[in-house]
Amino acid sequence: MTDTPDLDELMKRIRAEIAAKRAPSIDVSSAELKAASSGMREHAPPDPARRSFPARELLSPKRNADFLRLAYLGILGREPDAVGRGHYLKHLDHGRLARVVVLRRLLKSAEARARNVQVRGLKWRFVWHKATQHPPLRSIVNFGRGIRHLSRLPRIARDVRNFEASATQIAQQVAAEARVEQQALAGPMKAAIDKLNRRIEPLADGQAGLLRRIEAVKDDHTGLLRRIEDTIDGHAGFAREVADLTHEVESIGGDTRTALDRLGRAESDVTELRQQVAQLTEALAALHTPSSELQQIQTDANDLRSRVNNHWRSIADQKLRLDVLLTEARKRLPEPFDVAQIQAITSERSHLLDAFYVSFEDRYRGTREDIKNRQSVYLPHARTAAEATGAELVDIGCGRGEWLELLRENGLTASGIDLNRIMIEECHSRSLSATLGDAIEILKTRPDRSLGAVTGFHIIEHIPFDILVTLFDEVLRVLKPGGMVLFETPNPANLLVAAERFYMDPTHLNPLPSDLVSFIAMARGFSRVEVLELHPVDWQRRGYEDPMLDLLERKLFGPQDYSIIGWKES
Amino acid sequence: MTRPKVAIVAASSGIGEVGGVERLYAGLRNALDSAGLETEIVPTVSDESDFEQIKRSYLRFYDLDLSGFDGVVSTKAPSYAIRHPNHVGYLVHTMRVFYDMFETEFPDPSATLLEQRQRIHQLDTAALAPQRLRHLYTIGHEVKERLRHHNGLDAEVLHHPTTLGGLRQGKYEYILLPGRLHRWKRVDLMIAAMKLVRQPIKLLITGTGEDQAFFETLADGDPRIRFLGRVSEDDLRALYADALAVAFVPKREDLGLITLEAFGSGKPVITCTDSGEPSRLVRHEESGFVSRPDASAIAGWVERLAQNPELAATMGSRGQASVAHITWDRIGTVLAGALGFADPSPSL
Repeated sequence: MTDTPDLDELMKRIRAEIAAKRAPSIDVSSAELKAASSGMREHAPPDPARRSFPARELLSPKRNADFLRLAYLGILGREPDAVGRGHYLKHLDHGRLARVVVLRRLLKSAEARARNVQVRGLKWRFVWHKATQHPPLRSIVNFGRGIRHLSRLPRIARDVRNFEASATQIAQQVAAEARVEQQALAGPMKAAIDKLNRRIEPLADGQAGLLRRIEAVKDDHTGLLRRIEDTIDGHAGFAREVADLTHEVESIGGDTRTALDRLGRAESDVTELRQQVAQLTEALAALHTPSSELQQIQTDANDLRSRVNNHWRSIADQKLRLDVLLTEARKRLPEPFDVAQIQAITSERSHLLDAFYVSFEDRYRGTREDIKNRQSVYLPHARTAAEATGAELVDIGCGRGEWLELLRENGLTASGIDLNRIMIEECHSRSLSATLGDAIEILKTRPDRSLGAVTGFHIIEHIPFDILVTLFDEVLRVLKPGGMVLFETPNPANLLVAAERFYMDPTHLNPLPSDLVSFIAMARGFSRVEVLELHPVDWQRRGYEDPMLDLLERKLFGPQDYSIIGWKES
Repeated sequence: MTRPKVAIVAASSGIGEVGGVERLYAGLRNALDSAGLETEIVPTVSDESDFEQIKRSYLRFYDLDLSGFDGVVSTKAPSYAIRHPNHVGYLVHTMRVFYDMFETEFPDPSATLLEQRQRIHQLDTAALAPQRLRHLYTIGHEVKERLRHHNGLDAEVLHHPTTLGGLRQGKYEYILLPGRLHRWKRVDLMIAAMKLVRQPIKLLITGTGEDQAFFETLADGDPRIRFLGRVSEDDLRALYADALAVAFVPKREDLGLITLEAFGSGKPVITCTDSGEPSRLVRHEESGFVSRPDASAIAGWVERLAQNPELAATMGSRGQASVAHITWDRIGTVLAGALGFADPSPSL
């Protein structure tokens, strides 16, 4: 921006412009107006020492007041006194007295004579004046005056117009300035009024508040009066209610008597019943003593049980004998058995206990449905592994094929391996894919990265430690990336399992803590190894406050099995 | 301890008219009161009838003695001519007839007029110089732009809310066109647009003004357009509450409290690309429509809202949220801070 002048300089210029405009430019002829309005000041008092005046000078002032003042000052040497001024001015203004007459009267006064004042040329003026009081001179003089006035009319008219013009202009200016002044005042006034209003508002509010409170008190008062009336009404009501209650009490009395009668009747009924109960009790007691028939049945049952045991033992015995026979036969036959025969015989040995196992399983593991229900918790894991790898699942120690059947029901491809021929036959009878043989041997025949998952339920507690490690290694090899290993085994954290139940199966070697097995899994290369604790005892948890009791409860009735799950990363 | 005394230097027309700017003064006073200052409005007459009166008005403010106050806030032209050591400007607007409205009002200016304009520009530039003011705020971007363009001065935008309280949201029924009936508000544009709208939706126009007869003649014949004249504040609130949308199509408006009042009632605003501050406050297709300033374009937006009142409600609430930060408290705090009187114990 270009250099702008300072605000102070700009304002100075404006102020000057306004001041210049303030003085109005008036018409030259108005100089006469000025003269007229300040006529008084034109006439300076005459020199007090003067004693002689020309009549013309004393008669010169235009205004009567000025003339009178000059006359007094000149002739009497003083200002006009109030009485004289009033008297003469009145007559002069009304035209009843001529100025020359006034001068003459003043001159004739003692005061004037004392001063020895002379007014030259007064005498003839006075004579002329007197002469013109009478016709015909009066008419001529008046006529002459008329002409003179007429000749002055145009000038007077012009003066009037100028006067009007300047008067109007002045009036407008004055009005404009007055407006501005008024507006300038209006502002501060408005501010003051505003301020007062703001003070008044809270007072008005306060007053309104007080009025409201008075109203409220009045309402309370009315309310109280009403409540007193209600109370009085209430009392009348009470009296009525008391009468009603007395009536009710009487009728209740009547009811009570009736009830007592019925009670008496009921008592006799009860006595009858008691007798009947006593009779029944006798009969019941008689039943408790065992009849001879029952005793007989019991004896027979015991008998049968011992016979079954005997049969059991004899079968075991037979098996032993067979075992010996086979051994001897083997020693004594002329030709050595061929490989197939040897294998048949030796493998026969391993199947000696098959039947034993099957009956054992039947008794202690539970029904087929029970097992499948328990194992259904692993279905999501199996499905994940199958979808991640697209390969089949293998179950080691598949037993009667419960898990295989469950997988088939859920659309997943699986096959099993087991050492027990009877178990394998049972799988085949259910059209499940199962192979007889040693798991690790069979796994070794599978190529790398070929399987989706390898599972084993209650098998790892049957094998020695080093074979367990080998098993983990083989499983890791044959799994595809994304594949899973899952082994379930009894949980030694449960004391009952660790001390007693584990050893129900004589082929169990030793309990395997979950930390140990998961460590092996991780050490051999499995990822995301997790432990699932399962199958707590069916026991109503009491939640003991005593920490020892609580611990004992957990240790005895906690999860009885656990499974270890691991994944092969790519 | 005594509170600092602050004067709001107001320029009054002297006829006792109470318009939007008077409500602004009241609002400013209350805002500064809440910020802990003892505030008074000091009105002084500013006569803009002719150039002579304008010069005197500038001089009157220049000569005003407010030394009894600890701070002053100047507002409309020429209140900022005042002399005071602690002076903050909250510029409503300069004399627009010498700035952006010059070409419109005087299409063929004489040499005298040009010289007068030059002097006014000089006066304003000198009066609003940074040496004289601690801080300069404007009510909107329009004013800020004009200051920068014509006077080479920087200012900060500080929007202020409307003093029309108790706004509420009701139904969505008609188009409301509030404000003065002056040609700068371009009521004729809205009337021409309504004539092109096919739906039977109403246009309600409030207010009075010098161009009223002209607008009424234009609207003649269309029963949907109604002139309600001057309405009370209560009536205005009710009109805002049940409007479908508010039309506000002025030419280069400085602030346009109407936009804020419409958003405060949850209503979308139809404005034009050259309407000034409203075209900045309204976000197109979000809180209203910023239309081309011709009748057929505006008619199109009106029809769209008439067919879809839910859209109007949604846009209205967006508008309300967009101006929620504009409060008197904030103005009080900002101005008090600019004057150097930051409230030590702010009221909760």
